[in-house]
Amino acid sequence: MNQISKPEIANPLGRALEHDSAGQHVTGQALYCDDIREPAGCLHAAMGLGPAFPARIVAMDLDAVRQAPGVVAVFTAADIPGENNAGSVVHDEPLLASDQTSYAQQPLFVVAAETRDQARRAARLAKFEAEERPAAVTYDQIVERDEHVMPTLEVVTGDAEAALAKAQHKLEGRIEIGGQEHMYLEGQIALALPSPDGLRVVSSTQHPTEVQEMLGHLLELSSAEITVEVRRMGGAFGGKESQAAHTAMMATLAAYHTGRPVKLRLDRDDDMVTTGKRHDFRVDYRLGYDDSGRVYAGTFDLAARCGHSADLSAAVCDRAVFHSDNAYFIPEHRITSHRYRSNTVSNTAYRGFGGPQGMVAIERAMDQIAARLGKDPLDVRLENLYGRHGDIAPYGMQVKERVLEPLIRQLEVSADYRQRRAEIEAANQSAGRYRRGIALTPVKFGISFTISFLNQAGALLNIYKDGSILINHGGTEMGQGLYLKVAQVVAHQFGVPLDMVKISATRTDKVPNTSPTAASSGTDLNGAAALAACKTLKQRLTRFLQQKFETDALPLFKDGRVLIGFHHMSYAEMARAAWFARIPLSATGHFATPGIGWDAKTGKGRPFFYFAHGAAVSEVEIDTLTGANRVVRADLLHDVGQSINPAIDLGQIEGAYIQGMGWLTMEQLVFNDKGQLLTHAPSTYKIPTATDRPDVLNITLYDNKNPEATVHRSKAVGEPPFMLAISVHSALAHAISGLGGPGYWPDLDAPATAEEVLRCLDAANAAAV
Amino acid sequence: MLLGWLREHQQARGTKEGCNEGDCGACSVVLARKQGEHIDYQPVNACIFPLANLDGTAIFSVEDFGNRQALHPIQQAVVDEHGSQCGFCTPGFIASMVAGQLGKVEHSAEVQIAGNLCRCTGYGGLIRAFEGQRNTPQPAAFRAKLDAAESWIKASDAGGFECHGTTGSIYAPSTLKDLASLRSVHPDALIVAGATDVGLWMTKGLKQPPKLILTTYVHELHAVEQTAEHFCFGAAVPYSQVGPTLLQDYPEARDWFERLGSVQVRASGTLGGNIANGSPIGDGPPLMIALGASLRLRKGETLREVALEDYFIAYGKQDLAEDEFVEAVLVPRRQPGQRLMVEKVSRRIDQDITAVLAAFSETSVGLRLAFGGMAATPKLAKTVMASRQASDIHKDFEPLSDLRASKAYRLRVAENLLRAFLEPDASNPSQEAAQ
Repeated sequence: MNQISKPEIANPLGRALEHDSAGQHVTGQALYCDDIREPAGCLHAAMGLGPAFPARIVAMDLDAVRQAPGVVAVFTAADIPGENNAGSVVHDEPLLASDQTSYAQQPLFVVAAETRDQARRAARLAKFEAEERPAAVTYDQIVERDEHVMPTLEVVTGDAEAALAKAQHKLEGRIEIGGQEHMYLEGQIALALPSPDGLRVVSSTQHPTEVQEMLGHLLELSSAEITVEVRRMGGAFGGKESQAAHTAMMATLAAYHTGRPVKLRLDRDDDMVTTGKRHDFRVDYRLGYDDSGRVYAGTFDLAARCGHSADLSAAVCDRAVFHSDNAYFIPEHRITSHRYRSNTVSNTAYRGFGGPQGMVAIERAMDQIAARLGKDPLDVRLENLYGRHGDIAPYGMQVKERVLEPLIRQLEVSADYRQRRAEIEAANQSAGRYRRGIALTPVKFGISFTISFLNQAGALLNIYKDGSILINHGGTEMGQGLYLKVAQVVAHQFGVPLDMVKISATRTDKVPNTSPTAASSGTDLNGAAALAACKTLKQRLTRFLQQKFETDALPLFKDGRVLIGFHHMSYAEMARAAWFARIPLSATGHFATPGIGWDAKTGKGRPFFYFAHGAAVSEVEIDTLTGANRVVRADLLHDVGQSINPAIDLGQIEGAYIQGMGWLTMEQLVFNDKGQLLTHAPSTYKIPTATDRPDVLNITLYDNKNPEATVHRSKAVGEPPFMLAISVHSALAHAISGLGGPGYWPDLDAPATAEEVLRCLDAANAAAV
Repeated sequence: MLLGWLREHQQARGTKEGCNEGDCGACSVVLARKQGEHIDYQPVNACIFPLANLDGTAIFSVEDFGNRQALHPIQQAVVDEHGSQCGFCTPGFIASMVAGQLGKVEHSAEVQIAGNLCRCTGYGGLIRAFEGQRNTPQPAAFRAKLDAAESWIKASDAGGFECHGTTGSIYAPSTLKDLASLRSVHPDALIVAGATDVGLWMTKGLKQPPKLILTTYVHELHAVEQTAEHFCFGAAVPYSQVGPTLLQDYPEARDWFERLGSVQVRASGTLGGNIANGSPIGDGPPLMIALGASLRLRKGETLREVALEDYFIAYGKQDLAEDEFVEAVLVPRRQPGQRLMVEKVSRRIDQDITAVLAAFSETSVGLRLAFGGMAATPKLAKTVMASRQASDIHKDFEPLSDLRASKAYRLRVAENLLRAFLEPDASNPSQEAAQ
């Protein structure tokens, strides 16, 4: 409160403030679900996994599980009172499989025991009589079997085949793009707390409302009888959008039957084996272009490996379609998206949500065109940018903002791209063991849920008699600083210091019917809902102040004070006075993104409110003996609109880039021929460490205001910078390309592991002979 | 394990479980232990650190360093540098960084925190926090805790105990004599040092070995001796001590050392354990074989020495009698004119299980070309050693394809590295190989 006298503290908007929980993080005081003290009598659950292949279950013997020390009860599909379904969009995924499993190690039962250790030990004692079912795992297998979890989508503009036929040059290619494990440091977890007054579940989820609804279906309870709560997650990245419900449902099933609190925290290996990952894609592309590198026509066939059920695959694949153009205008285009069923764990949301997979292919194609024409790939990219020759995307939306060209030009200079590229190419001529490569790639990423109805949010704003403010909204905190950004917005509205605004845990009984905190939309939606609630309360307070001081003047909330006409009072005095005057000091706010909508049948519409942009220059070094590679320098320039909190935004950009770099280089999911995941722990699945961070990493926010009326004219930031890392993949290909002779470009797939890079080095050398 | 004790028994829940296998570092705590006359400070992974290895040590977790009212300088720096996002990994990072301060490490911040995974940030804030504070003195409140711990650690006489529980027994001898006699009485017991592998059998395999004999407290096994001919490392010497000694003679092995596990793993894991364990992909054995190391094995009062390459017989089978154990590893000192090359090939730079580990040494006596990851045991490429033809690698090895690498890749890489060592003047080995 004593900070009120410091005006610079009183306006927190746009300031690089520390994360609201930073002090708790560093002292270990921040409570995650597993850190909450268990209530007396709390049981611990563990999942019982099925055979290591897709199976028909002939018989399941759980006697040894039941008799194991500490076991209180064991539950199978037969114990589910309501619907045995964990599929969020299509009800095609049992929570617990019964007569057959669709992928290796699919969960079949849940054990509840007095301790977690007892539950884990007991879960391994099940005996199965099982017959192996055929497993479709590889692209060749899933394409041949041709089962789809959702219908194929085709987006068409013009006549691509005719335009390709007349094109001066044609390019054909195929790229395989691997999936990605979320590897949130806090694994899936839920604590179910049953009571006669209703069920309360603490869940590490991005989507409390969905968990609430799934629990309702599971137990045949109404939503009003269930409260789902999440204060913070230890990372999520999309992996706790639909997937958190499974853990919550299993814990709750055990709590329902035993009447005792039940905690289920998945062991890391169980988590990685049974929860979905980023979709892997195979993209076949054709482009027609002329001598200048300008693209006239294209076809893109996107084959996604979706896993055994639909989950969010339709929306993920839609977004891949919407981003298979990335930043480039292709006048005659046909994009086809097949959503193949495979006998693997069901793939799900992951930062970028299909967008990254769509972009990787077009960026490879841009590099190939440039190589064939003997041009700098940057010039081919610039030639095809939206705005040069057209601005209507294949799905019919106009790309209005002209941000990318100036942004790229600024980065080209600040990163000294042309000079460095020339130097690298010269050095590679006489390189020994190590070669370098460099690339500049752009990102244009559409902001909004493509499922239009999800673009809404609610908030609850309470002002207490002492003037303190509590804001609650439907967004969840997973480290991205959403709570802080919304608090900054609210504090600014009332002209009070940030510490007068408190944000409480996200709970379905405070703000109902929420959308997932996903699609980078957290601040856009929840911040706007909070603003709406602020507006309502400020209108009430304005009327109160005008009556009290008998004036028509509008009040000014600033520096912890309220000024109206010639009168002023402290903000806290005003709150108390308003309460005495019986003014309601609590309000809800709601926001729905205006003007968006998209029709899957016609493939046309405006799926996005706006686009976020960025570009990156990455320089890499490869070891030609082993294929080992690393990023030596990266320069990132990114458009977050007008930043609400530059420190948070820079952190998002840096983290997204490194995560994207991991996806495209070292992170490799390996499945065996039965579809069993072999890389099921951080011992075998490698995400970047501190030593993988580029030696030089320059990150700059691009000076831009969102032309759309978003909160503070800011832009979404969670996902878009992930795709800045495509420059790493492109730079690796560049480092290899020189070995293959003029016009050569390697068919480097993703991830570009050392093995993949060495394969391409050998192929380039062979091509040069 | 230590992590369960902290979280469940002490309700000290600042330290987190991320993977339960020593790979993510979220459970890192600071271990203080006696090393000669000094106190050695290291971060360790509490999830695979057996409580039985804690005698005579002190453990400091995130709750000890500072509090919200008076943050430790490292904690304050992480806040100021925006080094946390979701915050779940943060306490482990803080522990690794405080341990780095206390241990006065000279390596980079990146190396110090490479055993800690963060999925949210790009590590920038964390690196800056450590670099800015690495020489800052400890705050008074924490210093007082350290001083108290140091004095009783120095006074303590650790080991020399047995524990008998419902699932098994642990024997923790403090002398070589006791170890030898326990080994004779319990030839079926599992010998454990830092438990960086055995710990996983327990936390992941849920194994409960009925009998464990710890080498942790055996004074003689902690000796590091240097003679004109050898470095002699006692079997219980952790890698964190092996490295600096070895690097005096073999600076080419710095990369090998800094990429072997993580700071946490090197603080717990021992060279002796890495060898005795018999893993085909341990990072220690190939280099040791290339350097011509031998093992000193003890059975009661009887000692024998075996060349390391002869110790590994087949997968899971070593030249070790039932009641015998590894006492020390003898590594020859550097020869004049000796050439050495050590290359670790893995998906990630740090803390990754090796796909291929190549260690080549050439002295006036001859050529030694050792590989890990290429066969069921760490092994010399004897055909290539005789022919000096890199392409003969196919005659020496028939590696497996597994989740880390394919057979073809392993052979290709091995051949490329051999060529680089055997034909150092070739300008571009990769290009030549393709022709």
